[in-house]
Amino acid sequence: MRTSLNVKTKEEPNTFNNKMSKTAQRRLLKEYQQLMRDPPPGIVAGPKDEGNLFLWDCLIQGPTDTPYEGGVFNAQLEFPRDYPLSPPKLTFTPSILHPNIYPNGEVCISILHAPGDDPNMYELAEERWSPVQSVEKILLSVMSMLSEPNIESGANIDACLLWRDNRPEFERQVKLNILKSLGF
Amino acid sequence: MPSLLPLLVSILLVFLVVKWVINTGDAHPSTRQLNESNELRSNNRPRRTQHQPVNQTLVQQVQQVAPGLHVEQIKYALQLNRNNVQLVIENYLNGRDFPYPPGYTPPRAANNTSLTNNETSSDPRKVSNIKQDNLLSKFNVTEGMFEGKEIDDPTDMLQRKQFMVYKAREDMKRRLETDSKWADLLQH
Repeated sequence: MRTSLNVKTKEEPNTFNNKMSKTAQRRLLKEYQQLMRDPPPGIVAGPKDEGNLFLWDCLIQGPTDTPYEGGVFNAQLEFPRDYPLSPPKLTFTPSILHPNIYPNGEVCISILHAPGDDPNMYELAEERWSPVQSVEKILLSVMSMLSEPNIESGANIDACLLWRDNRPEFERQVKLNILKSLGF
Repeated sequence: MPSLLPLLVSILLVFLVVKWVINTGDAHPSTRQLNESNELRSNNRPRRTQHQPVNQTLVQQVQQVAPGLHVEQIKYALQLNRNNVQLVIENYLNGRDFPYPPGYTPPRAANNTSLTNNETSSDPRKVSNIKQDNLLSKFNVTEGMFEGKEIDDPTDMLQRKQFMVYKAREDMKRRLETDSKWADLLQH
């Protein structure tokens, strides 16, 4: 069984940060076990290596009836030490062509923004990150982001323009990358 | 009466002299320009503008409107348009091409669009990592590894990932046989 995760924290001094980090680890372990027991369809997510709960590796299936249908996409979740107070960072590795994914792969959706920092100045507080959100909710939001790009708050300008002005070419590029990633 | 005639004549003379002076004064620069060798002038002017140094503030003015353009592209456009910022900006807004000066090699590969050209240096998120992945080698998925099988250990993360990739490939194989749109993509 791989659910028993041994986390080395004994030698670290008992500082405020360390307590915070322990809270984060407990919470992440709980979320991981929950995702194992009841995995949402089309998503596999868990710590990349068992000694470090703060870096997760995920596979996300492209939703049906979208240009991403049939594809599987690899992403990484990086959790801050004060998780769940602050949101994690989600990065597609490699990046994919999508209006709300930065060219370097970083995902730009409201659930990944803390209430304090709203780069787009329009997101509703309840859509943004708070400790009641979870990894599962983030990954489900990413699925819906793949289904419905929002070009109003674009992260990749070229992708926004292509999505708006030349959808067939957008789909062609996405699908070609899917085929290559699956070894065709 | 006889004293009036010389007066009129002298007034007329003064008028003519004044008119001549004014005329020559006006015409002087332009006639000189016209009389200058035409050939020399037409050869000289474009050459002079090409070598004219481009003011940094002009470049910045264009950059404010067109942050995606490279400094060399803007400088070259300003040179070609005799430092007319307005004209250069208009060209940019009309979607004209902004070539690099001849002999200058762009710093990045040609497939990078000009939109992301300049911002990349300031924002690491704009550095493109959009490329083809290879999930088969990444997760050690081999042909037929789940033939007639399901996952035996649902807690095995790697196995679940392998299965997801494997299944996606199998589904895609079927899709390629039936859907010509997908099959066409592989032809080109």
